[in-house]
Amino acid sequence: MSDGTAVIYVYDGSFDGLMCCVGESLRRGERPEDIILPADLQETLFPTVVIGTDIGLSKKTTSLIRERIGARTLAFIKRVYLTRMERRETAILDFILKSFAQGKSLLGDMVSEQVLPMIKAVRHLNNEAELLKGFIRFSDMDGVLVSVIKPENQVLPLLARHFCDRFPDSRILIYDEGRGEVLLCGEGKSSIGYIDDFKLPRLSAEEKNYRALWQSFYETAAIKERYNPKCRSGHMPKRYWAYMTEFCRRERYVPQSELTEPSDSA
Amino acid sequence: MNTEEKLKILADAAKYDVACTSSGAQRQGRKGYTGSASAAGCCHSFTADGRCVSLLKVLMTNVCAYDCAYCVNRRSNDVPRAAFTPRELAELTMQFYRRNYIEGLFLSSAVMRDPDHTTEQLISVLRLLRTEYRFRGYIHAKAIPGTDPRLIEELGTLADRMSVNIELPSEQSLKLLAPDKTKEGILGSMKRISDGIKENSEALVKYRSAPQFARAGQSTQMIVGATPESDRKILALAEGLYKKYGLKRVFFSAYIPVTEGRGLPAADTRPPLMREHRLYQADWLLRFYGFSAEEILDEAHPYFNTLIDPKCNWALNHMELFPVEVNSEAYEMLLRVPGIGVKGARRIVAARRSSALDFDDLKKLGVTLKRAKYFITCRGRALPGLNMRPDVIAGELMSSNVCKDLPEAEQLSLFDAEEYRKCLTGQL
Repeated sequence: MSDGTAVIYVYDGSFDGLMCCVGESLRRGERPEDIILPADLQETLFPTVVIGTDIGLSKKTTSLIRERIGARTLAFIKRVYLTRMERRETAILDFILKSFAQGKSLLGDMVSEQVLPMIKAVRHLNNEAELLKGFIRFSDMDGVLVSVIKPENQVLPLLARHFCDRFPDSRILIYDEGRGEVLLCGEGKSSIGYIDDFKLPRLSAEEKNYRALWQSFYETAAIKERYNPKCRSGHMPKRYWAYMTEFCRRERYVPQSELTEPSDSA
Repeated sequence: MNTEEKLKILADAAKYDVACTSSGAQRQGRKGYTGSASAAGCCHSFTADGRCVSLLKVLMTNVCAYDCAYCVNRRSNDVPRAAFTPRELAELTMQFYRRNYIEGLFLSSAVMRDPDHTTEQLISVLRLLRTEYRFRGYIHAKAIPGTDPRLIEELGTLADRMSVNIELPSEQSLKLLAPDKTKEGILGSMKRISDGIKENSEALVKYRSAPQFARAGQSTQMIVGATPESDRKILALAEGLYKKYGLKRVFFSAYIPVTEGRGLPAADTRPPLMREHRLYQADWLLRFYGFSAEEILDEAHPYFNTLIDPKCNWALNHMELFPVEVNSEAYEMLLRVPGIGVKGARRIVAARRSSALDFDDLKKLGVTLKRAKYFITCRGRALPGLNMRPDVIAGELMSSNVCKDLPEAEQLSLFDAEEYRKCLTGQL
């Protein structure tokens, strides 16, 4: 500690921002009491230091981590950052400081009190991303595949490659409603940004029809004699249902022959 | 008939086929194409009965020339009939796939005219998908027993996985309930697929551009509980199929009465879900835990214990091999400890490298101590205060899902959700 008084770091919530906090902490030789977002600022009594995000410092910090405790540990830290774990920022900082102090990564110590919660949080993140690769539902909006989700972890970075690869010729938009974060994929590239307000445009008749067909299929596929709702919600937790087509309000299927007449009665 | 009506009829007719996995094929996307496949498979939804929905599972048609007693689609049954056109089905598959409803197509069919004609129909759907729609997602196709080998070969180069249903666990049962199908026809097709896969992998070594044949292998399924075979006989058959034909999966389907009479169980018979569950547990032991069928069930015990799962049952009968020391025991033997699964055993082997493990550590690694504690020591010591009376151990090992107050269909819900998902998706 530099002078023994506790401080709180305020950062912008990005991974680069967090790496700058780690870099600052190393430079000053202090361990901040907490690392928080500007939005949580008023709750604190400690003196605060705003840590600006500087890509150069972030890069320097990550390469230091890679050199001293390995690329695998750095990848692990990046994952922890994406989890819903409470106070993950200070957990990451402590993990790095302690690993540096003992000269090797703490990661091997799977059952220690410090590492186990992080491993569990990462497992939860990975698991949620895997589930969402299946549970995400797209609507075709003028050729753009659009999906809205509300995951517990920050999964968009883990979904980008999967969906870009699967639909290389489509434009894709996945909106994380809880965080206001949006993933855009197109022409083999992907990017993540933020938007405040997002509304799905009106569904086309064709889109409504495929939804109705999917709902029919989904309902038909269940076997009545084996009805087991607990088993279903064990595999597919209910928090995802609101965003899945099979549980949306049922639209009527309109046969192709009736669709050709242009009707504009909204 | 519109697409929705057809879809309802042809999905309803296909839903009793239990195999819905999309595993075994790894294929990246490519520009100008749609789709990819991942070796672990992917569940896109779960039905109200808790089964994974991975593929658009439908029949090409349910108009059938055969008259198998246990089957809803048998010729003599009075049900609505429908048939997709290849174009209609290919379009539906692509539209569902784009919306991420499904991982691909599972295409089966009733026997339209004869096996060759039926297979030609399946081929035309698959060819449309692969060439015109440039689809790189997963396709599982049924081989109809008795089809011309050249057609099977063509189907196999378009599909990722193929399966031939063995239907019933013995030849006598087959004769009785599926008089139009023969053991030779079924095993013959299975052998041709397995030879095809083998020849193909040799060809691929020589020249990489050789077309791939059923790269995700083949599977089969059989109906359990419609006929009198013992559990031991069924399990031995499954083991034989894995060994002889290199099958990826053998699926078991608890018989659900869809029709009455002609040597079948009564129409109000509950599907034997517990038995099916035990068969899957034993199947898991065969494939991932290094057990042989004979170790699990023998002549003196031809049926599963309904109260205790097959792994615990084996351990109880082999107490002389325990306890084992978790900090030094070989991985293979750790796998045989009740309460330690594949993940648990792997984590133990990884974690014990940095420090000797204690009982608390095992708990953190996800080992079920309730069961494991009777079979292990940590740093040379057993868990203090352990009561080793055989009846106490047996009581603790009883499956938590055995509760006579629950209706049989409820029982499945209580067993480890993740394990169940994996057993349905075939992933490790």
